[in-house]
Amino acid sequence: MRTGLIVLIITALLGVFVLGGGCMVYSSYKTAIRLDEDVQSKWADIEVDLQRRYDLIPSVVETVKGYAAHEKDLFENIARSRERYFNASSRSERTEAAAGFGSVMSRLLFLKETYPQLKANENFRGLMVQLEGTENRIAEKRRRYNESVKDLNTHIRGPIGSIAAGWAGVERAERFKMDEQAKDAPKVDFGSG
Amino acid sequence: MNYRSSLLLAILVACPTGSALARQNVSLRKGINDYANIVDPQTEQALDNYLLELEQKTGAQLRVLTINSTRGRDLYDYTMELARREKLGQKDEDNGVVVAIAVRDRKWRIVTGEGIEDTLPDLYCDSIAQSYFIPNFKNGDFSRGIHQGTVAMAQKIASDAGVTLSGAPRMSVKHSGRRARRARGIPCFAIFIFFIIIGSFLGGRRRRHYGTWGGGGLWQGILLGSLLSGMGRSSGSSWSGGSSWGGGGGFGGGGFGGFGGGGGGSFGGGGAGGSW
Repeated sequence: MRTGLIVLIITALLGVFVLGGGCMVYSSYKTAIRLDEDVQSKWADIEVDLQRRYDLIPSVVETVKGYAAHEKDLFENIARSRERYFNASSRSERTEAAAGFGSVMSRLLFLKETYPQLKANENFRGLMVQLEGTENRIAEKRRRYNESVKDLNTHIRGPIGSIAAGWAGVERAERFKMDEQAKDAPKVDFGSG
Repeated sequence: MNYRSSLLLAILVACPTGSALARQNVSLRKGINDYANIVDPQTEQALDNYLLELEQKTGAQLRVLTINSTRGRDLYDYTMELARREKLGQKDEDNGVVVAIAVRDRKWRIVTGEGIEDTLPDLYCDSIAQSYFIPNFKNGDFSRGIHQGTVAMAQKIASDAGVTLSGAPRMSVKHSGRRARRARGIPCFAIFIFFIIIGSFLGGRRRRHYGTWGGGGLWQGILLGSLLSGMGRSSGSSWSGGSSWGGGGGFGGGGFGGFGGGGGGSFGGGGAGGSW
């Protein structure tokens, strides 16, 4: 009689634990999926602006060529960077290709110091203003993307989170790193002088 | 008594430092927040009216900030941080705009909310600076440059929203700004009540022990309470952009409630910047 009661109690307790644990894993599963979706959509946001950057670039090169035809290695650099981005097959390859753009941008901006007529060109100026706006948008979206990557990775790291992530098929995401130069993205400034 | 006077002393010391810290912090509570003191009072008044009307009619929150220097920080980062903190613009519209001018650095920057980028594209922001800011700033005529540029932007936003601006905002409507001020009033009142209670509690206990304290606790509580709530109110007004910071007129210059706080809008990096 008494052993029966004990068995009943233990079974009930086990039931509660299993049910509670199941609930926790399930809610963690749903969170993992939500965070993963968030990372994907933030990445899509970045790609829109990266696309805009590489759409602007040919016009910039066209304009610059009229004034600085012999800056061949710069043009080659730009073409290579662009190609590398569009040929990248994985996200990490894409971020790598995109991250190196900061130095290209500073070199483009530096051209206006060497070629005063280029500086005076309204077309060049307008393109550079748009390019700078695009760079700032990329930086902002990269910040948001990295924030949601951090949320996802933190969630997945926990004991329950890792079980739930495995179940949901959600994997850790990579942060979008930038090269040191791009940290303070070059600013377009035609005002002085 | 000793305990209470040291408490009073502690609070008296703590309060001014608190408001001094708040004073160093730049905020965008008015239409034009002239920390560099470069805009004359009439222009400031006219622009505040204009921007308040814009906010009433379209919901867009356009704010102007002038500072002396960012002390070596990039003006874009500085302005974005501020815009993000103040969350200008309505939540789902993201229609906030900040125009920042760093006078000694000779730099300007416009940042646009994500929802207003189509109305104020980067190139348009740049052209505003080219046509109004830079030529006037070069002559040192900041009031004129800021007025013309800001009005042009406000009119662009208004015309895209299908309204016209007259420069005369509605005066007697409820503004979120007034609500915010009332909300700040509550803690002062709570402090007042709190000290009355503490005062009478302490007084009551002493009376039991010494029998000589009469109603002193209550009176001291009221005195303390009114002192503190008065202090709370004065620091509150300097917080909301009182005359202690700006050039010219204080917050209540227009005789109406004024601007609301940020509505939760977000900024995505749009805009333009440069120097003169």
